[in-house]
Amino acid sequence: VKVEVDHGRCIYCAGCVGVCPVDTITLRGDVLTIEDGPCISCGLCVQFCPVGALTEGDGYGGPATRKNLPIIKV
Amino acid sequence: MPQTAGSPADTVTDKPSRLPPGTIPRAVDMQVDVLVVGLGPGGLIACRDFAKQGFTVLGIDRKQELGAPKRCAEGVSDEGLHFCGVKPDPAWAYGRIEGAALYAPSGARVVLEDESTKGWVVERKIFEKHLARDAILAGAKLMVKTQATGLLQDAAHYVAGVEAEFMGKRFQIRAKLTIGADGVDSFIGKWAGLRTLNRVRDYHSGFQYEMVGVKNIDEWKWLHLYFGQNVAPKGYAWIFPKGDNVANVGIGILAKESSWGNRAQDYLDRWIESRPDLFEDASCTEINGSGIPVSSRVPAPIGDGLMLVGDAAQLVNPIHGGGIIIAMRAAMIAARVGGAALRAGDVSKSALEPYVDEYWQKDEGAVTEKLLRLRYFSEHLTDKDFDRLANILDGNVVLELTNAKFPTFVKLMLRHFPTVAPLVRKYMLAVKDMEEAKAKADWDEVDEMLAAAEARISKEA
Repeated sequence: VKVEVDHGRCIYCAGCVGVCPVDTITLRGDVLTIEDGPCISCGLCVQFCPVGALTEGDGYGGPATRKNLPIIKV
Repeated sequence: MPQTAGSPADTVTDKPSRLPPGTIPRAVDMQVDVLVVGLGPGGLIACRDFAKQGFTVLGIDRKQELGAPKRCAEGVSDEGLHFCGVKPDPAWAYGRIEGAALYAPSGARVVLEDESTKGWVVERKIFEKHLARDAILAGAKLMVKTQATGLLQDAAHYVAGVEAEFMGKRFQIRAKLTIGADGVDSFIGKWAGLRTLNRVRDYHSGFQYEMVGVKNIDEWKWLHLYFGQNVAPKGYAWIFPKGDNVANVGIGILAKESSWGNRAQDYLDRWIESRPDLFEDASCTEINGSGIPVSSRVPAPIGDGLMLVGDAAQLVNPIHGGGIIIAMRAAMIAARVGGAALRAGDVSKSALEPYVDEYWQKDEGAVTEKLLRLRYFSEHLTDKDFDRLANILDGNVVLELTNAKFPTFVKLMLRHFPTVAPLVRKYMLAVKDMEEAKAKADWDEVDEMLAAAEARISKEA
């Protein structure tokens, strides 16, 4: 895991979602999720967090690619 | 254990209703003229104004209750509300505001008071319900607890609506035009390939308590803004009164300055602790946080079949971080331009271009672009500089500054404070390129003053 969410601290303001360069953070309701795979460990979300709810874990989360965009062809 | 009759498949969630789509929320495929994703002030005004033109409008929001949790300090101006056709209602217009007081680190104060500083601190939960009422009564349909999960794209690569999820069921909402009003964490713009990423250089980390029992405020009819490197690095702390003894007490710091032990919350808590005179009898009724996009805008907030408004397009005042009225004004322009494009049957990016032109050349955008330079400039000021500024500036000059009129400010600074001339040139003069012809004379004047001051400095050196 690259970045861990302390759900007890998180105030689900979603500000971290706005700085993630690889779109790997999502907020649904009051649950913040960070996908391991696309995370490039840039630490911007950890730096931004107003309350310190995000921490950098160790280990490599996967290749630094933008995740597949959820584009649905109609 | 008693058996329950029937099966989960009998629930109504994903079955069509006999009523028009969106009357009651259902996870069934639907088709509308305009889809608005995100129902904050910008999204709701877009719903209202598109519906007023007779289009079928659906607005969706992932929250199950509009307006909460708030991500701001809830300040709106009289002139902004008036412009947007929203009448203040005692149900949400709580704290009457006549002006603002800016405090330098030394405690020296500059008070701003004129027509533009009059307004309200609102209760956003109720404010947004009222905006939603206006939108629904104008003919729009809204679906809450509905999360956009993907973007629909047609054969010509136009945005054609979204895939969404309501109560665990996925469905498609097809639309001729999609409005992304989904906030600072917008995915609509990202999915469509627009450059909406926020950089920590142009992003504030915000944290706030709503507090009851605040006391000894100089004046309850002012917004109070506190500056200083120890208070809020490259930002400010605020007290926005919301009626007697109730206030939004918050802080915004440049995200780049945030680190362990020195986060927005750390700074705010330390500042509150340092002011028992104001806060010792108070306690908190809310905790709020936010990312505040202070970049002035994303490069191009439009695409084929898509427009972004509000925080999703980073439409926030780069100096004070306020964005409610700006989002609403942009939404009005978007509805006007988008409506014309829909009637003409062309929602291509080029047909939506007038939205950008109108906002950035004639509306708020023209000012915010310049204020971005003022922000960069102010970030280079030290506490000592702020103290000295507080002594030489009066409210009128600061008001001119917040309207991006710089000559008087520059004149004053050069008189009292000539060593900052190079900073002014570096960060503020870049605005010159963006100025319209009629303001050019102002800039020539500024330029001359700077040149003279710089010549003097180099001579002295």
